Amino acid sequence: MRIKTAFLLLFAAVGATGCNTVEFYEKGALTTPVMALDMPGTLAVSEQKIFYSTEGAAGGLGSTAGGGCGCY
Amino acid sequence: MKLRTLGLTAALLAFTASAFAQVPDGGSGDEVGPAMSGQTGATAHTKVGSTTLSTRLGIFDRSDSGGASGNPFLDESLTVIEPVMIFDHQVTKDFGYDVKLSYDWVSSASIERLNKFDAQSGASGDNYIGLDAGFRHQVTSADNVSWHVGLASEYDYFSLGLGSGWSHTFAEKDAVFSANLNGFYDLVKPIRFDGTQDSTESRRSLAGTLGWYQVLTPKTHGELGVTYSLQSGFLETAYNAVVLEDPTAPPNPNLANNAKGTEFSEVLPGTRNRVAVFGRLRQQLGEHDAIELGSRVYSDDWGIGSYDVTPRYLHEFDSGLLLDVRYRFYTQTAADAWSDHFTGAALPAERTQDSDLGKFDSSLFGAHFTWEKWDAGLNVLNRSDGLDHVFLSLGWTTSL
Repeated sequence: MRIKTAFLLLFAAVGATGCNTVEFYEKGALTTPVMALDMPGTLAVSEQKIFYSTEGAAGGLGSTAGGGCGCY
Repeated sequence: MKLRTLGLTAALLAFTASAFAQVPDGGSGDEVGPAMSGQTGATAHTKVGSTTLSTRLGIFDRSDSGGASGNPFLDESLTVIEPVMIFDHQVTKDFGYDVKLSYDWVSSASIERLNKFDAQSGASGDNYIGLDAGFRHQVTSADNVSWHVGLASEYDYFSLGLGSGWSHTFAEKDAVFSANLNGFYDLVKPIRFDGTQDSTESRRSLAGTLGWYQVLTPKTHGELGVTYSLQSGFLETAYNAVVLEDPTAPPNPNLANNAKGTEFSEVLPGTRNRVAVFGRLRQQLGEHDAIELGSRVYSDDWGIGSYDVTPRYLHEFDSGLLLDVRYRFYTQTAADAWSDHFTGAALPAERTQDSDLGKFDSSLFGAHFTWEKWDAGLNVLNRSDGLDHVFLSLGWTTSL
């Protein structure tokens, strides 16, 4: 029940963020290097493995939930 | 209580995001959304026929002289050298694929310790190889699906991973919704703390992630996600042990500090359910500067709760050099089965002294530079239990 409540709160709140639109011609700033959210793929592989292997709460960064030896 | 905290944190993150939204309705533009989604897993668009090769060499080092830090009975020194390579090709407008190959050379005090025992004499290091192939399809102008298959192998370990994802772009809302599901099936040959080997065990992991990417203003965007994962099977680290201390026993030469006590294998529950909520917002300050604030809150049924907060600053110099500096504060509570000392006549049925399952805080200072085809990064982590580490990496990406 609490899990359901948490998830409902999450997505209701997220939905509320989508009520405004930015014009196409206003989006140039979002394509600059300092605004790119992705990190290099090879770095993501290494960092996710480090967090997974050295923290009890790791997993959940997206694709890393299990697998890998975790033997670091 | 923990789940309520998760929900409130998610709501707070989203509310904060809403507060930045000041641009009126109207217009469209799905050009920038997918390309900038990060952790939530939306697919990036690349040019047809483009091929890139990315390589990286990472070096991880943690020193723990004689068990002085973390677990007092175990030297947890560790060095990992990891080359990673990713080959990516966009075959057509609607289809692309990538292949990831990673190799780890692991040298650790815990592996060298096994060398003391006849059953594992000669053990000096470990080699890990991981291979993953990912495929992405654009099924409509707004929908992308992806799937991947991966294998990983070590001397005592084999893993098969499968996963798929879907993302949908809401052009009129400047948003991307994504859903990913990943599963792993692992086989472990348990080599115990005393070098003995038990029969092969299995472990199953399943994780689902829902993500939302949102453009909020012409200079602000962010993402929010939640992952729920469940695992079952052999969830212990095979060679982990706990020490039942006995002041009347002779010193034990197998323990890092010759403590008086007897080792027993770690025992943990056969299932684990985890939930994590994460989000971040990035704001451009000037033409060449941006700041970001990210956070992640986590809870599981082993008793571990954690959160992290990561502020970040990015600056692009006139030369094109991109600087990305960050600080990450992380804190976690201990697992119910964890204790730093076990005494008395008998051990609890579930027990661990694994430092990574104990209570600790950490501060990570990171700097990353990108210049043309090259990038380099340095992360320095200070942990409250003394298990500090350094991670250094050098990357190179080229178009073929």
